[in-house]
Amino acid sequence: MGRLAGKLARLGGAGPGSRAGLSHDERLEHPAAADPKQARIAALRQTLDGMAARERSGLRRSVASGEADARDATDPGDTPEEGLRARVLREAPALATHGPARALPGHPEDTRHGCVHTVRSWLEPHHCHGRVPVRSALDAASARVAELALDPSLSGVDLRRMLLVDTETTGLGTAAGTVPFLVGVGYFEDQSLVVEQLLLTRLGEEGPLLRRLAERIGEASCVVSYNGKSFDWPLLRARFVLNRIAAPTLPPHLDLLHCARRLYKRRLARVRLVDMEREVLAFVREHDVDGSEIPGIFLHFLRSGEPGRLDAVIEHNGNDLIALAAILGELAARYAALRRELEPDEQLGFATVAERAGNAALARAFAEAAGEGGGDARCTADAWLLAARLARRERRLKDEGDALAHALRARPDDARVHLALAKFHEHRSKDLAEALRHARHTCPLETEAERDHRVGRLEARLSRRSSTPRLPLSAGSRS
Amino acid sequence: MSAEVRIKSANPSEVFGARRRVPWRRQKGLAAVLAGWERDGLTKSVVLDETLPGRPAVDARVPETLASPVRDALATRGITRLYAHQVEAVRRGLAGEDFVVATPTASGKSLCYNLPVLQRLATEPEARALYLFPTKALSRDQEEGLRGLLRDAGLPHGAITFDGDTPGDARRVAKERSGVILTNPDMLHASVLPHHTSWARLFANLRYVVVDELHSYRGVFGSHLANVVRRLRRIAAFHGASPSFILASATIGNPGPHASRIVGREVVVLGESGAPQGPRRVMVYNPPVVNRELGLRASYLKSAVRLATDLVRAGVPTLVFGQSRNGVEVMLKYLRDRLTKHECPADAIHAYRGGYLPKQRRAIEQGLRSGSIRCVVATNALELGIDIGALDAVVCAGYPGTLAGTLQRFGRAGRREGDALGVLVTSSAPLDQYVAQHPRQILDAPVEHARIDPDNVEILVQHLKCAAFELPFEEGDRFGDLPAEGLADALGFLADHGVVHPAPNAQGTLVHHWATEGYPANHVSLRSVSWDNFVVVDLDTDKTIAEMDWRSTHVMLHVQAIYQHAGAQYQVERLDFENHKAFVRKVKPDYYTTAITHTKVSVVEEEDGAPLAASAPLAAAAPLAAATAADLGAGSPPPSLGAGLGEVSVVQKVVGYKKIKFHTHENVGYGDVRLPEMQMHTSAFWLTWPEELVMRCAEARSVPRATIIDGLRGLLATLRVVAATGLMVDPRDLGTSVGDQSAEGGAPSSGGGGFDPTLFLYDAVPGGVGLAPRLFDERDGLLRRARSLIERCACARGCPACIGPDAGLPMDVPGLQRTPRKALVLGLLDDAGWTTAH
Repeated sequence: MGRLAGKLARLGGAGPGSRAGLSHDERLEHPAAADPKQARIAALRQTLDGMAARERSGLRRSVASGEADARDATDPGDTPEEGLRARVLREAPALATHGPARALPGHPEDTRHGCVHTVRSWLEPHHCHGRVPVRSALDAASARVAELALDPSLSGVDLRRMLLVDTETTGLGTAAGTVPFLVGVGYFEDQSLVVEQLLLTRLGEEGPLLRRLAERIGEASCVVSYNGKSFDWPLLRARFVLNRIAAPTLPPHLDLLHCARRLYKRRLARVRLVDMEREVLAFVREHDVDGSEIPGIFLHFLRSGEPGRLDAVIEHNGNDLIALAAILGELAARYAALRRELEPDEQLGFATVAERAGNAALARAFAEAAGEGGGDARCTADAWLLAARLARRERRLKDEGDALAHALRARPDDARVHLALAKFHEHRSKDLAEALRHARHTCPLETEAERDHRVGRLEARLSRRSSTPRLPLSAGSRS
Repeated sequence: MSAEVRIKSANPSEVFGARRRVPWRRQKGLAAVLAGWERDGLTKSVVLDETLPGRPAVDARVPETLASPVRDALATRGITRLYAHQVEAVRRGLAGEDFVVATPTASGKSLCYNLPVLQRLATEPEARALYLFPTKALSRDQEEGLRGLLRDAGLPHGAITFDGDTPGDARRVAKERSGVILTNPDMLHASVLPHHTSWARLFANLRYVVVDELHSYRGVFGSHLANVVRRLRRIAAFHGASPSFILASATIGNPGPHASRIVGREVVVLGESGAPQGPRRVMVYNPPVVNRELGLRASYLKSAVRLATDLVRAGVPTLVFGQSRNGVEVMLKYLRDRLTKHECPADAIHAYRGGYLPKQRRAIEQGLRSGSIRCVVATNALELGIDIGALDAVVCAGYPGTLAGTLQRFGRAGRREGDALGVLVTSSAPLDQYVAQHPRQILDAPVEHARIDPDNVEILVQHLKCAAFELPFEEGDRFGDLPAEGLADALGFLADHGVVHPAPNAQGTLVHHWATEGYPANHVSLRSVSWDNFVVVDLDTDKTIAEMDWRSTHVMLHVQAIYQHAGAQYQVERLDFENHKAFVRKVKPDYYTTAITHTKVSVVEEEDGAPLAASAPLAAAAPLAAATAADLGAGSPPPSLGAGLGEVSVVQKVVGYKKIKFHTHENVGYGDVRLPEMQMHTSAFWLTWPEELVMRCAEARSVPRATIIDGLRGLLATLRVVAATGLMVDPRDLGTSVGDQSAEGGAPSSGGGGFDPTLFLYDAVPGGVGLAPRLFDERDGLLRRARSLIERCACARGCPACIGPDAGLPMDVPGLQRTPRKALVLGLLDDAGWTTAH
């Protein structure tokens, strides 16, 4: 392998931030790696001959074939071992593991902007993704959706005109060289969901595709995506700039990733779209293409003209769009009215969102349901603390005391509970002795100095007036 | 306040004000110091004493072409007249011409680029300018000054530094609103250009690109910058802008050509300074020999301190330059020790070097301007244009290694009027002694050129990938001044490797699109050193007192090292490699430490090799070689040299440290250091001298083997000079080492067999940038040119321009005749068959 070619290959490789590349085993299968040393020396000679031949540019087409796009994520200067391995394990651009040739789904469609390769499918109103009908998205009330998204601009939008958007790209990141080669949009016609996927069949022909997309966005009342705020949209906007097409003004944008994270971060370690699909839709994809393979599949198609597994990518993208609609419908439904069958930590997630959205009634209902749901101690305590907070704001003194008592029972050593109780008894129930008892257990939530200050103040007040509390609310058991 | 009252109560008008005449009164001022040196016999050691004439100011009124807010901003600063070169800069700047300002230090270079930019902002509110500085510290400095100017001109545009430390909200402001973006080439390369679509506002309105400290972009770093500029111009053109370039450089031999190569088109030089300059006395002080037998000279550090002490005592603001951070701290300590509080308070003398925290540096600069600081001891950090104006005297402890560096340091001496002094104190290193023997070269020899090669294949290809990532290449597109044919070939090469994908567009033009996953800029580092740094934490106060780059950490912050900082000593108690922290405690030792490092090059994989035979018949015909062969019993022809190319590992390791006693500089002890070694894999070209040839040569000349090895070192120095020139890189881009080829590289065995001395020339950049392969390619020419350079050099025994100076130290072994080094090197080449005949 040539030194220059090697450098190229290394540079052409995926960066540290890119999706995981091929396994090393796969790379080794390539014949070029069979005798790397011989190949290297041969290529090196050629490169050097070339350099000598041209004094200034020193460049020539290298005939060293079958290498580039090595995906070692190592920096040249990283560890020497990795640098060496990377050099030896250089591989071919094409993925070696493509199945038999398959047809490219969809067909070129003439739009008024030019030809766009389009894959279009209609989903009947009763079509279900997992256990959830896709059309349930239409039942969502925009006011509730706005609360879920913590975005008032979504309130009042006509959800029948929502546009679901999801892209497949040649890489992560939103820098100029990353191309969204498959732009999937979904919209409802009546009760049916239309999935329209715009495929770039040749680089440089993004113009009609982007104009088509702009048209769709222009017709929409809002855009629904999963991580679209920080990925798909900035990337698409960069494409508009690069193609010198005016980027459309985006209507209100509902990024379900943010909603999912707020609602399910207690419950799920990760909240990727597939995690949510499994959790709320009970849908498990079979033979789904691995996201890290997608750029390679497209690049193979680009170089060879063979669709390869592009159909799987299109299916993956289509599923993402359908899942978006179903998740939106299901989340909105779960949020609209309390359902006892939900798990307590889920209820708590909804309670937290409702509280932040200022929907106190819903927040209270979810919080109490979460507290009574028999979840783990942490969840129960959190739920009752939330309920207590809501009660305090609404000056429901007894409710606050009860809620805190529940919280204490769930987690007797929780500093947050003790602090809340200390404040409750000092300022509202006026049971200073009880307040003092709790004030001693507020570390490490408070610093020791803060705790001592509070304890000191309570002791001083107690010694000044040793009157009995007006309300006998010192402990939950007595209420 | 109270002092004032007291003076008033003494009623000064009734008392004689003049000072009493006292015999112990010291004479103040530079002239007195020089007279004192004459009296004390110091001038005997002065080997050069020249006075360079001053020049009057050439200035003119602030041109009327400048908008009134800009003139107001100048007036606020008391500027009603501009120097000729500033006027010229304004004229050319407004005309949109590219130019480089190459006037001396402290001649007001910043205004040369700030004025055109301000004018543009005043007349075109949407206009934008991009400033590039080689370091973060410099951009922060300039940001402050520029903001002041903008404010005084009543311009609402901000100026904002965009680097790795810029917080998120400031980044948004930078993208959307700021009129001037100050950044560094690395940030432009890795962050701004790849995301140019979100910088559309900047690029669409980009009117000026300012490149300050142009001289620092040499060699590989400069070649990278030139390519970043190619990308920048391309992106600007895409967004509809064609900015003018304004560059500023310290003294180099070729500011115009260098600037032109960086920008990729012809750049005009403004080299005539209109700033006034008082006469400047330039001296070279070679410390006297104190031990004739060993040829030892008095310590150059102490000599420099002695001279500086006299200057400070006489009230002359003085700048002392040291070679290393340690040297700077030692001199600071000595200066403070020697000067009594009365003569100069300790806090009026400061050190100034890279490791200091920004706040400390700012305070020192402020003190220098206000006059509360009277002496600064600095490493070359001050060379990088930090705006402190000039002082009356500069003492340079040790030759900086280049003429340009020396002149840049001397440039700091010289007020606008009045005498100034620049004195170089030479050390006993061979290079310094060469300068001492030929001091006039400082005034007469041509200043070094800054060399770059933007078309270096590996560098070019890396940037072409970045460029293709940023914007597809259309047929007919250009990449700076890269010939169209070269660009087409390179893109074809990238297409062959699947990195870019050619596809015709609607008009039928071929377009090369980036067609690979990933972010190419992540894999390209513009410099071989990283930004990575360690912090130094004082265990007693728990405060961070300094920062240190990764490489220096090994040398200066190993456990038990004495870390000197601002005249105080700390001992390193713990070095937390993982978290990049060194924990130190204040101590008062009577010694300081210097690390002992060891560099070893070993071949990891040989990629190519060839005998480097001067064609055999010629070699035999060469008289000297023939004679040698005859001496050795003829018959067997001399074995030929071997040339090789391959991957090497360069290992640097701090193996121990020495304790050096303050003031006496005695070595008072050693210690071990256990630190991970610093390893770099890179490509190397090597030249193997068969052991047989070495032994034959040693016998024929009756010299020990060590002398032959020393001769080979001399030859290696020549090869480096020739290679750097041929490759258009900075000599520092090429590492050199003499070793052998065995992987483990044990002790050189002189008993024949196995140990073939090998001269390594390697790319001093991790991974290499294609220098070694070109050297391998050009190996014949390399050796031929080296031979010719040595032969033609006018020196008698060897000098820095050829094989390096002959140390002049007694190396004679009793009973053996000493061969001049230059003759020896030529003889070595003869023996190997590389005679003049080639």
